[in-house]
Amino acid sequence: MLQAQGISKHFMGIQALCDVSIEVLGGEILGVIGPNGAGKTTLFNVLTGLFFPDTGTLTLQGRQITRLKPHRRVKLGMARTFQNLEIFRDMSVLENVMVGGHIRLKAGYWCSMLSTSGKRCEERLLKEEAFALLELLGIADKAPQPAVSLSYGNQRRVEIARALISKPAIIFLDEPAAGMNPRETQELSGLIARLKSSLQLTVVIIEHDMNLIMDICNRIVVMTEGKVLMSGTPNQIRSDQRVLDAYLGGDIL
Amino acid sequence: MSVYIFHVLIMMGIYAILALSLNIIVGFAGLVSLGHAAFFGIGAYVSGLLMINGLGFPAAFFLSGIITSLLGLCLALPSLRVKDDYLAIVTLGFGIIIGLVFLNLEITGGADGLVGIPPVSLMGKPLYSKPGFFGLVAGVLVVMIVTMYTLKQSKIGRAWAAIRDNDVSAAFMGINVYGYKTMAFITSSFWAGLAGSLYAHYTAYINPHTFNMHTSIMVLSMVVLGGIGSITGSILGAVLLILLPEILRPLADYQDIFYGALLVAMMIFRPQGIMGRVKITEMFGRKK
Repeated sequence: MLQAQGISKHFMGIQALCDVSIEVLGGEILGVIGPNGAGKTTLFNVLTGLFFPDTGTLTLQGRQITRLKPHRRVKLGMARTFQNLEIFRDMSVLENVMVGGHIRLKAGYWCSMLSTSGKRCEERLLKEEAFALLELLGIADKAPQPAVSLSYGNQRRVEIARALISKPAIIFLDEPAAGMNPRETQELSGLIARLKSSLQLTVVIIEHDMNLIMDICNRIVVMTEGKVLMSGTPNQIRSDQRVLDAYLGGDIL
Repeated sequence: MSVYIFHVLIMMGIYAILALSLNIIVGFAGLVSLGHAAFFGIGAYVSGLLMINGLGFPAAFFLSGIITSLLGLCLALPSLRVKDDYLAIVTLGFGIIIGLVFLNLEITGGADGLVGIPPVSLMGKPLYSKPGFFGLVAGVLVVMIVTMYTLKQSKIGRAWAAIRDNDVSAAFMGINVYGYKTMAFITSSFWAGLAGSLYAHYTAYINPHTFNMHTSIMVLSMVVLGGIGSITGSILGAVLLILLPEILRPLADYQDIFYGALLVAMMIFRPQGIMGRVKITEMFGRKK
């Protein structure tokens, strides 16, 4: 589905990514783990187009997207959430989710200005869909509230709903469980697994919560110091000495 | 007396259109423009010149809007590559350049301005009466309010609000940030051009002084005073800032002091404006 080949990226002399190659297979949940500063979020930012890589190429479903702007990648079926919550602070929860449906609305400038029946109809359908997604994420009762008034965990849910409403083929979740308690985290893993199968979604997920990662991921990529240390199934990762040395510290699992 | 009242009402209407148009840039899309009087002026000169050269009113009116929006596009394409404070400086520069162009071109009459602009004529009959002209201004204003409201409620309004709020996040919602910012400039300059056209045909005489930075700042003050992003607020701001100088006429010499003090007090006690939700300080400060 998505191939990244030989990706390097540096910021002011700091090598954040060094010759990283990964492949995301269609329909899988791929976990990206690694200690802080390993370059996980930078990798996400390159894959989704916030930064362009210094070297390397990106291919999405056979299409070159190395230097494609983020908003065009969304149209090709990419969506993401952010590690440092980037919700729209002046908007309600429902409005946040509806902005996520931007590319699904066909009405152009004139139809919007004249508020044609076609425009009103698609708006209504999108609103219903937004409600349905909020319900799925268990925050439908908060729809009219200002998004900033929600807890961290719920703001993450808003971001997930906002990403899902664009009907992505591949979704990038950057630490979706941060700020959630163990029970909420468990609910979230169940939800991600359900979404994956019901929407035929491909999921790439960065997370520090090992239970979640080990539970739901089909494959895991381990990063350290801007490089891919290894990749494999959760069982392979769990038992690999290099991973334990580099990151897990031996006695966690 | 009633002539005077209608004169004030007409000026309120024209400036309300102008303030609302600036609100599209400042309030809806969260950008800054310190050169808005330039669009007002371009509309006025284009419409005036077209009618002096024999074009009829409705045609000159719409053409002034379209030509002004083309100039809005020309300003937007290079200047929207920068943002916040830098954009403020670029638009300020644009305003000054356009002012100098009005002052130095032969066709605009230089410092003397443009004299003998024909009045508005509808179906061949010139419209001299002030209530009649007020009706025209009010009609344009109503159409503008309705279209602004529908735009605000559409995906375009939401995209602008998203950009204002967090432009990085907006791009990941599939919003073409640069494109939507440009669209805000084009829409805004179109209506500013129409306001200029109404002004030119109302006063029958225009000169470069009307379209200088003072006007840009005054229109921005209307938007800020009324509340950034609020449609009612911009209208209220225009009504207040046109009305105040009229009421304070006996104190003519102290007018600007009062006017300045009002803005200072406003910023201290109600920075979000009379109606609005967005504080002016957040326009610059909060972006990451």
